[in-house]
Amino acid sequence: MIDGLRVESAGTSTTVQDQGRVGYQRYGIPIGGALDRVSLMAANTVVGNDVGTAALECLYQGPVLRVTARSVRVAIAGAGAQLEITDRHGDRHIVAALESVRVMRDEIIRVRLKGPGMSAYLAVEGGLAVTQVLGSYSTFSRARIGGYAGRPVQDGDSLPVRQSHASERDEVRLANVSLKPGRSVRIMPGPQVDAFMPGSIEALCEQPYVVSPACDRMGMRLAGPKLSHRHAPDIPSEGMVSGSIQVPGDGQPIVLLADCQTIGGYAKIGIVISADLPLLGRLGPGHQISFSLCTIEEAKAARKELAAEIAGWRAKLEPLGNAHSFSRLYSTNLISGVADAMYADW
Amino acid sequence: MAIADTAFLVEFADHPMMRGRLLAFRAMLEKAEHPGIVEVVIALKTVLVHCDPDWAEPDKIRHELEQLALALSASDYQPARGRHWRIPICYDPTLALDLEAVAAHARLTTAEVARLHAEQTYTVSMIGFMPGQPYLTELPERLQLPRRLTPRTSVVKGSVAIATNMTVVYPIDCPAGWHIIGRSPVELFSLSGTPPAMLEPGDTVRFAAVSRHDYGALEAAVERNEWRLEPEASQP
Repeated sequence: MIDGLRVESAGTSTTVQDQGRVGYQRYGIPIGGALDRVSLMAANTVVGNDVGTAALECLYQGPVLRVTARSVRVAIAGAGAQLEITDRHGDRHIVAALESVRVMRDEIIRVRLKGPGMSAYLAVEGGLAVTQVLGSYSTFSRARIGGYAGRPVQDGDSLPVRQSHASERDEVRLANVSLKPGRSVRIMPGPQVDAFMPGSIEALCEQPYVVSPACDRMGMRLAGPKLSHRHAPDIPSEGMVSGSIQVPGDGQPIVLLADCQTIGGYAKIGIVISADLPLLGRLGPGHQISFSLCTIEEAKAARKELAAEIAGWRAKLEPLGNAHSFSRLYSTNLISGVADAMYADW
Repeated sequence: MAIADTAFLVEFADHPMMRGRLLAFRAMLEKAEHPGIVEVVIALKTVLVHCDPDWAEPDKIRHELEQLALALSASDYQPARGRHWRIPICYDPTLALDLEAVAAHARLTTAEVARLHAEQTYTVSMIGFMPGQPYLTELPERLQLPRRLTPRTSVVKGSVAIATNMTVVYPIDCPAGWHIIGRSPVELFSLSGTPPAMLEPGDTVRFAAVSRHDYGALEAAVERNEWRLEPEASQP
């Protein structure tokens, strides 16, 4: 058994995720993968991994992990996320998002989600040593597939890592990259937009909706202006894509996310464009979300733009210098203050 | 029709050989080995084509899909001649939460509901919702009824349920809004299977009623990996 990270406290929903499981939807298995793939890719970039390497997705309340390997290099990415490292003397240090840090055996990593985002991704240099299932490391908990034992991690689990110790190199920061929670996402009209009363999609885009507490990796229920069907909400069941906005009989939309069912029978008024799907992964209960209509050409342009931005990240890595190898220069209070000021306008 | 920047939904007009057309279209897409096509999902009247959005312009893919659909001729239609399965089911009331309510609704006895359900030969219309989950048509008319008003947040793996003109078997614990009339011990989804789903669209299915005792024995055998269902040697 390879050492790695021991779960002292699992957090709300901490799962191993990568870019998803492609090719099995015809058998009823969703693509799944990170809700916010951009943050997954950012965290991996900072620790020097391939962008799609499996990492820990932390939702709502992050986990507390004890390092059992000789050392690990980690980075957190997510709107308002940070790491709190407790060293062997019991001193606590804060490491900002998108900064790499080397953590030694028996030191403690606490993933802090201070908002405004609801998700964060903890990447480990070299990746987590879990088993690939159907071409992916992603956890699909409902069917107990993939990740760590097919489920969210639990207190006491030992997550093996692929690299016995962090490589010898300077720590880095991914500068000038912002992972803001997306309050505004673009949609294309859904396949059943005409099954709704005239003006419904305009109504959907006119006022913001609020994310209700009923949300998980499968989908998020929204509350806002009621959308009315011309007749019934049911359609002959058909294949689904994540980002679909389906509307059941109560007129309140549900946006389907990474683990969405492969086939669904409710009318879909719109579909979130692929470039904006990661933004949905940053939203949680109580957050507002506004929709705006766009064309398929705009959707493709947005996707290209995002891909180009991600391709430029490696060039944006800045060395933090040896003094920052553990960010020990910073005190907890100082960094928290800076972070709060940075996020204040969100 | 482009329904996202990553997918096209091809809808087919009503046709007596709908299933055959959908299967033929999927086979055609697979044979074409189109580099821009990632996945193909068959449903009741539609084929969802997941595309690699970086590969080609949407208009080009749409045009190609249209051409392929138009090129489908009646001789390509694959008759629903998949494998045939006899799936054990237990209609014992302890495993069939809604059997009495369904019987009352249909003005039948519970035994008659079970008999009607088991007498029918069904076709697998589509696989999906949950991993390996079959949607089976055509439920006998006497048993057809709308979904439950309030879905259950979780039903037990193996639950056999009915609603509208279909019957389903839930392969894992999941939320469900259909009426549960029995339970099957069969594993419909297995990571060791190739493919992981036991059933395929076009397969045919009949249910074979087993006692509560036999159900327990089969479930235990499945649990110990000592038994798995094989298709029947011949068509019904």
